[in-house]
Amino acid sequence: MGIRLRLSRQTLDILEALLARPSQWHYGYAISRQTGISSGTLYPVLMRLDRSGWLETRWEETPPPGRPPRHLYRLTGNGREWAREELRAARQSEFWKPAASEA
Amino acid sequence: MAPSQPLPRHFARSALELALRFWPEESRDWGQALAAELDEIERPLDALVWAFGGLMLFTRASAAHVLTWLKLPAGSRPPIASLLPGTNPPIFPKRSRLFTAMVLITTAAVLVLPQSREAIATVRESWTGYQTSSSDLRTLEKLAARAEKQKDARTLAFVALNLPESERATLLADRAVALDPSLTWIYASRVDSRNFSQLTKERLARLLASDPNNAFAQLIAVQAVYEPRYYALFCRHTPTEQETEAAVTGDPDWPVHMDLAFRAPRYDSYFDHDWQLTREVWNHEPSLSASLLFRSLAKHSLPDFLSINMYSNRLMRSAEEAFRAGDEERAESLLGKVDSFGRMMLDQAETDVERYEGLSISRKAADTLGDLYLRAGQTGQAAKARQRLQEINSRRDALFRSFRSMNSPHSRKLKSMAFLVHFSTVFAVLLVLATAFSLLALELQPEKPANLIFRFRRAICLTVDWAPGALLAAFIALLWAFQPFANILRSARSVESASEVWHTMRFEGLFTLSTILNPFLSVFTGYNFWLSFLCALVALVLFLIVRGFLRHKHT
Repeated sequence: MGIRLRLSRQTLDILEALLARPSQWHYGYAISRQTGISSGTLYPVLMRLDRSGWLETRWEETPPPGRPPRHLYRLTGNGREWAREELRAARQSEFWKPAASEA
Repeated sequence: MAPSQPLPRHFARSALELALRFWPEESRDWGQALAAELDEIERPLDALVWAFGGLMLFTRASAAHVLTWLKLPAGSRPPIASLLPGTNPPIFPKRSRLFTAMVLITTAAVLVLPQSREAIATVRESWTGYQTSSSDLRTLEKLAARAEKQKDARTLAFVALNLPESERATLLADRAVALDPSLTWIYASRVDSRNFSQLTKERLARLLASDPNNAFAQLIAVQAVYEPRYYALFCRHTPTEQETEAAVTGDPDWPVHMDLAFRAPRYDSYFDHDWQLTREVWNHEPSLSASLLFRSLAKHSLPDFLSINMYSNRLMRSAEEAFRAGDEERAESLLGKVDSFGRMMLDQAETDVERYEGLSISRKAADTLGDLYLRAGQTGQAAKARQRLQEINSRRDALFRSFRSMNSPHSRKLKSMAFLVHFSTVFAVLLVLATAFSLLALELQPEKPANLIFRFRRAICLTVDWAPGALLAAFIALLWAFQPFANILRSARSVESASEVWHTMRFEGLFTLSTILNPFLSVFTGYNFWLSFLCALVALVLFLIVRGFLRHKHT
């Protein structure tokens, strides 16, 4: 196992939000509202996760008339495992606390 | 009709739409994803904050795009567009844009150095024969404006001496003399056939009044008398000897002024005054071009040799007649007058050509006297005249020896440096053109398939790889090769004697730069210019061929 780079708090918050309903597709604004992270921080994280292969994306198939299609995100299978591992490591090192307390 | 949006939402939408227009292609879909969320945001201020985040993302994406672009070679783009199936990828230069940009920026930094600007300006001026450039004219007009404001007579005089347009120059000369009458000599400095008409009777009278005991002033007066007539004659046809003599000596004022010149106790062609003035202004204005310096040394007035020789011959003829008539005393006196004028020129002139003229007429006078005594059988007197002749000859030999040899090791080295200066500049110009053309060809037609312009594209890529570095090397070589000439220019500022600085410039190399580099001065110098141009062109082509061949061998 190589050196683990510590993820930022914002990235961990985003991973937690995506893991809340892991099989569901999430909108960008919804993630932003859930985590309180602004678009300028959120989208670079999503882009990095996408480049790393942890995130899958798609466009809305039937957008409402008069509106452009929205982009949807969810973690891939590997991405979920990786995200769980990262969150666990972060909790253990007391670097990060989940937004909602876990059972 | 669509409901009007609140201003913050309208602004947010417009800002994101504008950003999307310029968004880098490789991440534009993320920009669109962000913008698509705008309609879901209820509060207009939240929409504005969302859009602001989008603009931050746009800035980061653009910066990343530029950085990626810089790391790629010229003509290539970040890998987004797919190639047409079946086509070969076009070849690109090996060096990245960043590398090329850094080398070109370093080259620009070298060019901005004062030493570089001096070198390039001097070489450029040498190519045009040190004519007054438009930047010289602007500098002179600026100096004139400042000098008029500050009532600086000497700077006004300097500008008057250097302006090519004679009416304006004369106007400024009048102003300078009005402010400082001791500058009246400027009327006589740098007169030639083009501006003699400006030397009016009034100005001439002022000159003669200010310096009545100067032989040179009388010689200028003589020339002003016959110059228009002689010039008109010369325009019609090449005059015969008799016509020339008639034109020159025909005016009744001519013998009067010549007599005064030959009796004058002083000879001063104002060369030293001219140089002191130039040096004074040049030390205050270090950015003055080398052309102005050369012109101050090369354009100063020379005396009227035609009149000097004609009057000397006239006196010698009168001496012969007097001798034949038995009036030896008068003959000796007339020849002595010629000899002493020659001695005065030899001892007091600032340039070798004037000294040589003085020696020549003294020699003629001594030779004539010797002949006359010999014919009369007066061997004793003839021997004295011969002794005088020997004295003159040894002074002439000393004058020739004082010319520092044009073939000394130092002069030869300067000639080599001058050639290298020339070669570097020409090479640099060719490289600038080659680099600019190659970069534009690659950047403006990056998607051109290799099989269409394969041969040229290879040469173009090679040029982009090597030309910027070679350009930097060429400018550094130019700076290095110009150093001796820069040192000569610098040291000239501290030399007080006009004669010494003329000697230095003539034989120590600065004129080497001007004569060797001036392509239009003579066939010889033109040969040097075109030879170095040809060498530079051949070097560039050879490099492309050899390098291209080696690259082809490796692939």
